[in-house]
Amino acid sequence: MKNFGVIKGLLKKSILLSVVSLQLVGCQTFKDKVVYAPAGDVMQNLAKEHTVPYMLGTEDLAVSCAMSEALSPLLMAFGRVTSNPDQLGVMMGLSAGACEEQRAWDNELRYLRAMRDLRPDEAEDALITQKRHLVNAAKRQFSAYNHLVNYYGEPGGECPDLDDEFDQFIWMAGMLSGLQALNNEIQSTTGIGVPKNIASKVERGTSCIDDDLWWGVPMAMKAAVWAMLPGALPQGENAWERLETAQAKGEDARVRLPNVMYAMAAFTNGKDELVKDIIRRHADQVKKHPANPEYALIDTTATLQLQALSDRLWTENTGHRTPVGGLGTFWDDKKESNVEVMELDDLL
Amino acid sequence: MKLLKNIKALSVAAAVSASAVSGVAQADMMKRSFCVWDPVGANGPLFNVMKSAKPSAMKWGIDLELKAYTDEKIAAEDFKAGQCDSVLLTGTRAREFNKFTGSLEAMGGIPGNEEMKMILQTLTQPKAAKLMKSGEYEVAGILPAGAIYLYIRDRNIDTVEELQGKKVATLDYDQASMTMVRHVGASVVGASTANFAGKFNNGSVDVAYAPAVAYTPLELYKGLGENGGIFDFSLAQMNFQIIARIDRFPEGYGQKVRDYTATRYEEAYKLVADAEAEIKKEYWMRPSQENLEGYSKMLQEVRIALRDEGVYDAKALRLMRKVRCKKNPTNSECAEKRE
Repeated sequence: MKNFGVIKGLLKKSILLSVVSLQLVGCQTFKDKVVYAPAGDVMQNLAKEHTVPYMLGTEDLAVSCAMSEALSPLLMAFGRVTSNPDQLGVMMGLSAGACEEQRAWDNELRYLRAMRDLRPDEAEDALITQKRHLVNAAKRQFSAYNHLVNYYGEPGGECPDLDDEFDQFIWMAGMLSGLQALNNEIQSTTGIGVPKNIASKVERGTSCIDDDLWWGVPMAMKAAVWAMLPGALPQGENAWERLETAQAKGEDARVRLPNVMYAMAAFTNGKDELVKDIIRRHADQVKKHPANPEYALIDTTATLQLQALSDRLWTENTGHRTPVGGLGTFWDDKKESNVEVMELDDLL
Repeated sequence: MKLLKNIKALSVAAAVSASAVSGVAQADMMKRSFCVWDPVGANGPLFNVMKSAKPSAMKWGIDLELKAYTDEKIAAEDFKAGQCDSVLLTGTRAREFNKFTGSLEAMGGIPGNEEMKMILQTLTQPKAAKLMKSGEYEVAGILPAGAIYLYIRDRNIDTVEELQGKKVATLDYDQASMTMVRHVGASVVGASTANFAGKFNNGSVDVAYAPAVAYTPLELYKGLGENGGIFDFSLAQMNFQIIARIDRFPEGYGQKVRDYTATRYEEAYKLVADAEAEIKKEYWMRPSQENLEGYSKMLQEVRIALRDEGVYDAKALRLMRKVRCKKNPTNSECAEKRE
């Protein structure tokens, strides 16, 4: 009976303690831990195991971009109640950044048309609008890069454990975001705080993943940095040869993303004829060999990025973008026809 | 019906006058090339800033065609050969086209941003136009790029005397830098803007000099490591200059571009301030006041020697001395007036 009294006393105390602590922690914490956190875990796993692979297998970049813009706040908010969804944050930032890049491109073309038509006010307005979109793109891509850093640590030092293919894919996507953020910040001529050493860090970080497994993209990123950052090229290396090898790897895998890095490096270095050749070859390959179905979205992204470059060249020279079905052709191509021509002299 | 006729007549008149205006604009528009040195190329920061100037130039009747150069030497050569109507170069490279503006990067000539701003503002005035012209060239704008600092791999070297025998990555096309390095008894290791950072980071030189904007992108902190430091003393104020061939542009173009450039100063200074903020605080080495005065004196001697050799322009040195004395009138040089 004495024991019973002790137990009763303890029970009383613990009930009192529970009531007090419940009041202290409040109802919100209960909801966070019991309701939202598991839901968040489910959402994160669903996104990781199904949504991302599903989207990668589709071809509609506009849908993926709209999804990222719309769902980012919902998915990222789960970071308040459960582990931070950093890996998803990388994908969301990269993809949502692409939406803003697309808008920036349209304004670049508007700028070019206005300059051709001698309308400087319109051109200036287009440039300002373009820069606003580039700033947004850079911010989104930089946030993607920061999610990468949160989850795996800063690229450029020791390689993190990239156990499975998903980790490696996110590592590559995060570094790509970093490079894009830096590039877009520079294009916008507005400082938003993207560290200027991302390029050097990414150059080293690409060595953490297998080049053959990832369609030559790691080497293409590395070599693009060599071609674009002064003094980055190691002795005995040739950035252009490496980019060509990466191009071939992308073609073999039918995920032709290395072509984008190759074309960007060529464009930055003023090699316009090489840019045209890369676009021609890409368009030809895409016609002949359909994309790897697992990564169709990435192959489409590469095509759209090259189309943007092609549009820039077309608009500068003709006033309009690449004609429908005309990717891989250029305004100054010599038209050759194999069809025989009839003699007209006796009809004239 | 009458109203309809009037509207028709009006719209025809509007269409005719619009086409006439655009016809005139088309005929008046001059197509001119602008070769821009940017170490990154067509996607680089300088190229993009210059691209923003194209609509303004168009309003003045110039359709500027921009071409990116990653090699500054080739940009200067192409400009000299007449392949570019205008060019963007560093102040030091610009010296061969205008000795006056090319001397604004003179060592120790401009101690800080405030003095630099005063000089830029002074030179934007229309009456300064005469100084901007030299032979067939005109400097159509100067953009500030911040102070040049000394980066040292071993922070124990904290006085100029200790630089003796040390290897310094030196821009070998710049006679002033070569003279300076030899003056302090250090040894010259020829370098370019593309390779000096690599030499510093891998230890093949002990010392390098660069503006703060180079610190993060070229990872100069790697060469500084645990033991290095940055001397908190402005060796010179780096700048970029737009140079135009006078006969290729209409009268007044230079002044218009200089006025436009002046609207971009704050933007340029923000870039410099952001870059300086990225430097780790522990790297800064603060020389004593006494040492600072000594260095200023030493640089003054070198400047005067280089002026007498014909490297630096006397008028530019005088303007810089006046600006320094405006800020610190009690400096002994203000009474001596040797520059």
